[in-house]
Amino acid sequence: MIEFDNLTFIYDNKPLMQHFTCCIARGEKAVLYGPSGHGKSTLLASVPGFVLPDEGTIRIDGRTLDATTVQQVRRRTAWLPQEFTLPYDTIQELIEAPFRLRANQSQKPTRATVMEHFDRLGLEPELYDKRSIEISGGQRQRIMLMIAALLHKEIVLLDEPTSALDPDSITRVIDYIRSLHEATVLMVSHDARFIDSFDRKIYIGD
Amino acid sequence: METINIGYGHMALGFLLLIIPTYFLYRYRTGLVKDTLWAALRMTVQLFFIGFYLEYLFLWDSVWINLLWVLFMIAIASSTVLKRTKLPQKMLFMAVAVAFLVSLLIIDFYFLGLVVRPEKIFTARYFVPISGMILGNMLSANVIALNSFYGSLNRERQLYLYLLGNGASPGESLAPFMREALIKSFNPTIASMAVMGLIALPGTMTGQILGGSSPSVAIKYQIMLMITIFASSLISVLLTLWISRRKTFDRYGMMRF
Repeated sequence: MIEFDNLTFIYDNKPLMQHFTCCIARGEKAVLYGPSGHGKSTLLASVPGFVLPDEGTIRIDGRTLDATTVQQVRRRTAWLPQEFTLPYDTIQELIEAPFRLRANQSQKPTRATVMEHFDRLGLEPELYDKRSIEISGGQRQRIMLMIAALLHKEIVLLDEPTSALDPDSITRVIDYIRSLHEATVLMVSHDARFIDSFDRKIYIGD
Repeated sequence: METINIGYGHMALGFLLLIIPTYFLYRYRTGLVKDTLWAALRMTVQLFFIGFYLEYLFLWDSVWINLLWVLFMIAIASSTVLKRTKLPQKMLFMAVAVAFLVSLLIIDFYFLGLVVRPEKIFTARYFVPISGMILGNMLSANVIALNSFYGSLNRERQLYLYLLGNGASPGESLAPFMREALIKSFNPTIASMAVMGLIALPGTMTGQILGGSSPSVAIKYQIMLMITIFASSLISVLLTLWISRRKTFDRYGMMRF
């Protein structure tokens, strides 16, 4: 369970978010939505401790997030930031990189598993052997989502996971996220259809 | 065999060589003429000063004065590293100085105590110039390594957060940046070590031969110094990066600047 208790974030001496309280239950799929610049991504980034609230407390399964617990929390999260490029030459390297970390080594997928997930996300098998610069933004976004899912973490944090996708791919991604039954998924989105597809919607705005 | 002393008149003659580069720097309007003349003047004054000082250092040959002199060199080297990398002096001075001091002492004890074996390890004739040479090389290696490490961390912040947010320990998240820093910092040294003697006669060896040593002795010193310089530079880079990390990252693993 993720609890945001009376959070305030201040940015450039102005309050970005004030006295925000909310609770995400275990296994819930929740979308943060609302106008830009009101702290959705900041809130998401506060779960792994990348941004600290100026006031208030974050609790994960009842334990307060602080410098002593942050590393345990990060071992339980999968984090997909907004559109970005990682410096890996090939798709295979990109996929394998997080599974080389000690915390994830036991989860390393076989090529067959990757192919099965590629299929579910509408990705062609040949992509696996391509160079990173040869794929589109939408393909990269789906591959990154697949990596986040294959890590089998309890908490999955997705910032704008459909921003580079066409409508057909968005449908696949929605089904894919819904199938992560065990995981608590917290997402940020501006896509109306994506937002409407999940039961838990949290408005972040004025 | 005595080394031929260069008279002041002949030195002045040697300085005339500067006319050629200065003329071309002026002709192509590089804006480097003033800097060149200023650098040559500084170099001359500094070296005369240090030569004069070393004469006394060798004469006194006191362990404490020698150590104090090396500490002074470490302070200057640490400050220079931070100035050149534009990293915060206040935050990182001690980190770099401690890294330099520890690696220098390890290597001095090893090299002088086990390999060269003079009567006293801290004797000025060996301890001061060898420490100076090691420090000079540590300085360049650390400038490159720190520039690469903090520069790529700033450029590739997303990679750092991605690894951290997907279960990496702080050490694992920084590993790609450490790797890059080590590659950038040590590639030139490895390359120069590989061609030493073929396309370049190194300074120490040339100096010793000019000073009257036999080439076979000079070569042995040169080989040992290359190994020593490589080991000390690598140890100092690792220590600087490890110690500085404790200052530059907060307890959540976020960079403080």
